[in-house]
Amino acid sequence: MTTPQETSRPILDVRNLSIAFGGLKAVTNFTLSLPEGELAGLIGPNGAGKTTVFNMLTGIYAPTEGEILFRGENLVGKPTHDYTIRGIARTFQNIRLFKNLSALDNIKIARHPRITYGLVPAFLRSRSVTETERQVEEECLVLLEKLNLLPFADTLATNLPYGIQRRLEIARALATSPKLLLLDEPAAGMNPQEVDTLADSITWIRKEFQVTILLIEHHMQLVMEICNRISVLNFGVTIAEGQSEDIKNDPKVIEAYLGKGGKVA
Amino acid sequence: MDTLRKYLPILGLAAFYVLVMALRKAGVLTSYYVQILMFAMINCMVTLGLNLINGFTGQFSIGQAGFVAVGGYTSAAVTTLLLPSSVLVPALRPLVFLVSVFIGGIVAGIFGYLIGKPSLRLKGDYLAIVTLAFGEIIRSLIRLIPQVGGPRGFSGIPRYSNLLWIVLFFGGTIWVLRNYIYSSFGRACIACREDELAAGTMGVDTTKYKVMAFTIGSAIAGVAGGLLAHLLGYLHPDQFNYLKSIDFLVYLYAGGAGSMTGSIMGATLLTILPEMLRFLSGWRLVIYGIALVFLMLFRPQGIYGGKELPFLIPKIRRPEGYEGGQ
Repeated sequence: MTTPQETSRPILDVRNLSIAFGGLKAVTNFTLSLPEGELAGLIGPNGAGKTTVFNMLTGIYAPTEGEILFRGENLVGKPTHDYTIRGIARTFQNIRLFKNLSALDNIKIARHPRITYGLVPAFLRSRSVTETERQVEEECLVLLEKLNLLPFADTLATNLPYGIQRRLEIARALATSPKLLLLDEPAAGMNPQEVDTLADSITWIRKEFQVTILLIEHHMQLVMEICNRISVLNFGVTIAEGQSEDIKNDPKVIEAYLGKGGKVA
Repeated sequence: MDTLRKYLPILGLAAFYVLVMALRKAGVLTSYYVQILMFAMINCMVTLGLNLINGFTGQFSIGQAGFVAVGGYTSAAVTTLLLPSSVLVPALRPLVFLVSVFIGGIVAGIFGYLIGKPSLRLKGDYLAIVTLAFGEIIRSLIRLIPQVGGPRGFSGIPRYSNLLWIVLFFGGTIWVLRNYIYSSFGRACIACREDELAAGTMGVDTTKYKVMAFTIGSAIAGVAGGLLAHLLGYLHPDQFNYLKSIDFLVYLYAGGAGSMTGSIMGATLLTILPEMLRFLSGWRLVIYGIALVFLMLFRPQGIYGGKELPFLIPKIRRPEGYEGGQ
């Protein structure tokens, strides 16, 4: 694979994004520019506003100010499903699978916006509907297989082991055919071996599905290892941005994490 | 084999009809029992519609009887006031009946849309409150319309409904609803029930699908209302009070929300049971109540909650190597 060209137009260009809940300014002037194919990290201490940024980038929260330019189009003010249809997919910090549905049905729902048959043919289950449904079934099974989830296709999501649920959530996000994938703490609750596998999976997914990835993570080693570029958020303000080496030695970052006089190993 | 499997439900329904007619001819079933069966099927339809809203889409509507009333009165108005049987040649009567039942369904669906659109935008219990109010408003409105009998009730409705019509509509409802639930549209509705926020981030326009489910559920209730009107020959606003709506909720949750089989079982069983217990006179409703309490104690998910008979799930052929556990 070729390395992503730094010169290409950014796929995501976030400008001065701010949100206030009542008097609380959760995020202030968040700015981020992601070139296509980038794998970037968003880090920061607990409560820094990282998930709030994700919620704004998926239309769940309406920012009080700022612009979200995705492939040149400002998405602020659009409903959540429009963000997905235009190519932004995400996972959640606390897994939000459709618990009482099988892994396969979880994936099928994510294909929803790409299925185009009409309501009347659906009522009558016309031949074209049957054919489309067969194709969807196949696509989804192939996707599950790619992510080593095929053995769990018919298992209810709620009955899956934790690590598999996390992977299924990534698979579900990929099923929406995204251009930009937002991963909210994908390594949460994983042991060191699982984190290693995850690091490989994320770099593989980026290549295989040709997606730009932005991930929130507390696991520093993982972020430093795989991300080309890192933004650091503290109290809703971006305090540093750049290559992982620079971030590691940035005094402001060290201070945010460890207090004054601290040192990152 | 696949063809046989496909047509088995239709054959089953036809066999059921022939069996009931034969037993009726042989004198085993009185017309009273046949009537109860017809009520049971109509209640099944209403409950199936409610199931789409409450069971599959996870909303909470409690005014289903209001939509039955809208459908019933509308279709009765068509066959009684607009095109009374006296002006029709007999051959046209079934056609007029059929059309009137569909009109009843469409009008009930329109009401559903108009009510659902504003109230489903909001999250929470708004729908419950609005639908409860709607049921009562409809009842009061009907009382104000002298053309349909007002508070005296609407009499003289031609009794076009019979077992054949009801079996056909019953089967049709099940088939159409099954197709819907196992389509992309149905999956979107189920996603709203499971996790509305996640559904949105999967590209599902949650408001649209909640309104769609509510409209379809209301339309089915309207169709059932049309059948009911032409079965009874008489309608009264008080038939459709909130207690009637509660009946449908009981059928739904006793049978199992989110299962079509459950709705059919719940509505059939709980329509027939009180009639079977008639010999207990005053104790009838006590026993009925106790049966419900025990059911909820030992099977809180309902008789058939979370499960479905295989013929209600369309089979999808999987590519080779992917058959898995199916």
